[in-house]
Amino acid sequence: MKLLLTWASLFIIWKSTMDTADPTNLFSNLAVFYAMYWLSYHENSSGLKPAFLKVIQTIVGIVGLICLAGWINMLTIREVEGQFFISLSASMRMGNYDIINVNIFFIVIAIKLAFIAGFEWIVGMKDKRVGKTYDVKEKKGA
Amino acid sequence: MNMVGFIAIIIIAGLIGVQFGIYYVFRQKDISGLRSLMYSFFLYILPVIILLAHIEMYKSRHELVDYCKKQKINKSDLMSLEKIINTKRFVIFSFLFAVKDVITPKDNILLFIEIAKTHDSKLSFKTKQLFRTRGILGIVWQSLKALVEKFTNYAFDQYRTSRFKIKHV
Repeated sequence: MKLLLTWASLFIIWKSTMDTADPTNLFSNLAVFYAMYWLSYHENSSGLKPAFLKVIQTIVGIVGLICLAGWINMLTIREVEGQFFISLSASMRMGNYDIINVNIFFIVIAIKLAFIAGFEWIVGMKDKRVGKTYDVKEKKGA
Repeated sequence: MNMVGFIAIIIIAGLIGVQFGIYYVFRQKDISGLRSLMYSFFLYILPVIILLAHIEMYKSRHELVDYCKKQKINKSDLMSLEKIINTKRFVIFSFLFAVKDVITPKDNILLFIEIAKTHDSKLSFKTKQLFRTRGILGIVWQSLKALVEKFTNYAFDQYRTSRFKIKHV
């Protein structure tokens, strides 16, 4: 269910960003999405939890900063020959400097999220036989 | 990039994540790196393994009746099973059962991990010998056969428990 929700959210973000080319759409949706994902990590994965949370916290922090930069008009999304770029806004007086293609930025995040979701899904799965998740190393002789 | 490409990319990334998860689980269970990698690649053919197991179950369906006799199932239930065992209804039921099994990956992956671990404890004793006599393909083939066999047994159990509401054995 979590994987389905993840993918459904990604489709919505993709559609809204490509239709409007509005940075607030992309950044606010991503921030909400990451917060949602952060809150819905697998409760059972005890060993993986600290590392997983640290990664997600970092991502939320980075996306939050980008979002803030978009909100105060430091960043914007610019169309160049039919391609959309996250770029410095004109008010920064540095010219229209393109940082990254929106598609590439989005695809990198989508790949990483899908990878983490898949990995965490397996490792957080409860082994019926021993009644615990796979991230706890089995003790020899126990 | 269009929507189809995007969907394909995240599905592939998700699958690779699941494969790495399985590899990690096997390493946690003290299975060697090479064999863990080999088992993790079986994930991609898991639906085929399940379908093969259900075909195998259908071929040996008459054993199902013998088993149910031993389980002391109601005579009426047993008679109804004997009636339909060679009919098209049973074929359709088996097909639907296989489809249901393929689209519920969680139970299959748990079982797959359990089977691979049990199989590996037997395999680890004679890996070097098998390498010499059969090579890597021989080991892969043997592991595949073991998986199909165990999944067939699991399909039998699933059928019995769902049809007659008896306890899982």
